[in-house]
Amino acid sequence: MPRILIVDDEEDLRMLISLILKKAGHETFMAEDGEDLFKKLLGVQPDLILLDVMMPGMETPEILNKLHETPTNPPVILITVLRYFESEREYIFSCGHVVEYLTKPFDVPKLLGAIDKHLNHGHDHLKGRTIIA
Amino acid sequence: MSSEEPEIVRELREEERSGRLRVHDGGGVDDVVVQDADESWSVGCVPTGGGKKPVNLGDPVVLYQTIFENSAVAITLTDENERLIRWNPYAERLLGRGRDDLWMLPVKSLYPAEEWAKIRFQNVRQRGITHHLETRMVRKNGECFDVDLSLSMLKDQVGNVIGSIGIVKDISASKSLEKALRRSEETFKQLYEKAPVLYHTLSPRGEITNINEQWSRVMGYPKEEVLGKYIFDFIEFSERDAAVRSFESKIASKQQFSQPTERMYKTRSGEERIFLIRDFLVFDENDAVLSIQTTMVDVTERKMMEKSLLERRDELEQVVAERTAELLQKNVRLHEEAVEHEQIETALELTLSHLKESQDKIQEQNRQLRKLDELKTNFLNVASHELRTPLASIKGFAQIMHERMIGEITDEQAKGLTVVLRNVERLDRLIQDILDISRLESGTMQYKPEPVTVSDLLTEAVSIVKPLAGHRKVTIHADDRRTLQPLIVDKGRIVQVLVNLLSNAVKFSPDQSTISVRTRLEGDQVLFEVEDHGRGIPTENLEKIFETFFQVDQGLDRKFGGTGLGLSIARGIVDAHGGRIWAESTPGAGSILRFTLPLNAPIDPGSAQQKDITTAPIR
Repeated sequence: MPRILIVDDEEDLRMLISLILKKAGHETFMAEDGEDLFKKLLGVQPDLILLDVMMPGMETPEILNKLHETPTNPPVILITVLRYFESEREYIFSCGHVVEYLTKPFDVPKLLGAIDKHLNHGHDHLKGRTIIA
Repeated sequence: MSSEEPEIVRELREEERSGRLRVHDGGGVDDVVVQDADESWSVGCVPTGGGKKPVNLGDPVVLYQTIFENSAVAITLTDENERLIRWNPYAERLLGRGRDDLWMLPVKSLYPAEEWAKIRFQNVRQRGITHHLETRMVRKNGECFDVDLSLSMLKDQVGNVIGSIGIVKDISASKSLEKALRRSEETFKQLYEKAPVLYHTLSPRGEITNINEQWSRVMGYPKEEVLGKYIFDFIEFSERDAAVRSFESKIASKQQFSQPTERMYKTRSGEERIFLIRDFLVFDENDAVLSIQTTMVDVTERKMMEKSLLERRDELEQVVAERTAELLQKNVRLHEEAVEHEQIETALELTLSHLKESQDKIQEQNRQLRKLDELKTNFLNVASHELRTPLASIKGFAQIMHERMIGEITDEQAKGLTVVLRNVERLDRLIQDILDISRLESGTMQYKPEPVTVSDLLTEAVSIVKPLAGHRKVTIHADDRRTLQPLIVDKGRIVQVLVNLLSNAVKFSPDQSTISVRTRLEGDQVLFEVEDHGRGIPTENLEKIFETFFQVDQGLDRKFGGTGLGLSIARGIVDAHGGRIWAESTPGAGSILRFTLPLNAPIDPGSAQQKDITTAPIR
């Protein structure tokens, strides 16, 4: 069963996403910010991370860079309220294993589709990444 | 002069000086030496007066013989036929002839012809008296010489001329001295007369005794007119007294030379001339002043020149003084100007420091404005995040419930969740549009220009609007065949413009109608047209529809979920791309919304700021 780590400071959203993913047959874990993420990362050993952008505490690029340095190095799907420009996308994708970004409020089918896609690709996640906006 | 004398004369003189004289008789050669000749002479000359008896001098014949032989004059005797019969030795020497030569020589041949004629004219022979005359004689070699001749007739007891005695004294030396004196006198006279300076000679009383030609010429008086006149009458009146005093003192002091003096004279024509006067006193043998010789050098021109030079110098000095004064004034002015400049400089420095303060203030204000701007942008991002995060939860839960992922629901419950979801979408679009309007108005909208074909733009926009149109069975017909050239634009934003126009068209289109999208190249611009067949836009609203939150029919917006911001956003984006957007309509028959985009123009995010941004939704 794929292990997915949900990182979001909004408890309602963590609960919602967890519920959706469990229904879809995934094992879910939760962290409320960047620091919490790194506390739990080694214990959880996730296959994929859903990472909210604009959380209190550690900034997104900081989190992505630190993730890059860990041995686990799982693919990351960003969930954000902002639409990124091409240049911003390139930057985000270049500084970690970001494979996808979804804008809030997201569509449930789109979320599931993206997760399935990148889990199936395993560590081939750097190829064929798509943007669902 | 002695060199001109014949040798014989010199010899005679030598002998005279040495006191040795030789005595000649007519044919004899016996020399008688008189031991004390001086004494004999002095005795012979003592007059017989005073009752004293004459001294006995011996035989008179011997006495006169001695006188005759030793005389230092030539003595000749002729017979009644004027032939030489007796002469003394001096005569031989003087005449340069020997004894044989002179014997019975006609006396006539001793004279040049014209001199003999003069002697004959005296008629000495007839009158029988002794006669003295100056004449000339001729030597054997033809040389003539001046002589003083005493001629006496010798007569017998009855008065018949039996001969003559001629005593001849050589006066050639004194004659040539006289000639030299005359020449010297002539030279002096010439110098006096012809000299370029003025000469006059005065008596000790100041009367003019002589003047030279130059004097006459310069002063304008003929010589005869001034002789005997007082010199002071010719001196300019004002200097006359001084001149008289000076003259008298000179005469009294008998100072031969005196310092040159300047005097002004008046010429006959009244002209005043200045002379440099030098007096020279001439004394007689008794040391009394005989005359005064005066030279006068005309220095009038020199004086005038000196005077004019002095005047010129004065003028120059005056000019120099004036210039100096001017320079001083200028210096003062320059100093004043310098002070003024300093004041201006100080004022400028003060102004500059004020300006710097103002600049600092403005920069500070700019910094604050930028900070505010950043805060505003930050606020928009935060607001967007904070507004959409709860929407995400609402939407997600509604969706999983609606999809029956967390348990069965009734159809009515499902309808309710559909309404929730639709309003979530609408709220999301509204938030999105408000953010866009804020960015357009503040000029903070960001654009990412990239080359894109018109075809790509249309395809993407149509695909977004198609589901909405599908609900109403409205067909969208796109035609872009004539515009193959790519545009350099922000693709997402231009798609947004097209989506907004198309959504707007769908909103006003009757069911089952057609919407046409057309593009064409117009010069260096691409024209986009979206045409619907709805009820159209009243003419008065053709511009208003691009204003923010303007809605022709608010009911329609509510029905279709419009925000009233779509067209306003479209205008802002088109303006930023350097294009133009406008609407045309035939009320009751439909509307055409058009916009242009330049093929290649830089995007200016600020260009929408001052414009009134309008309308229409969706993404």
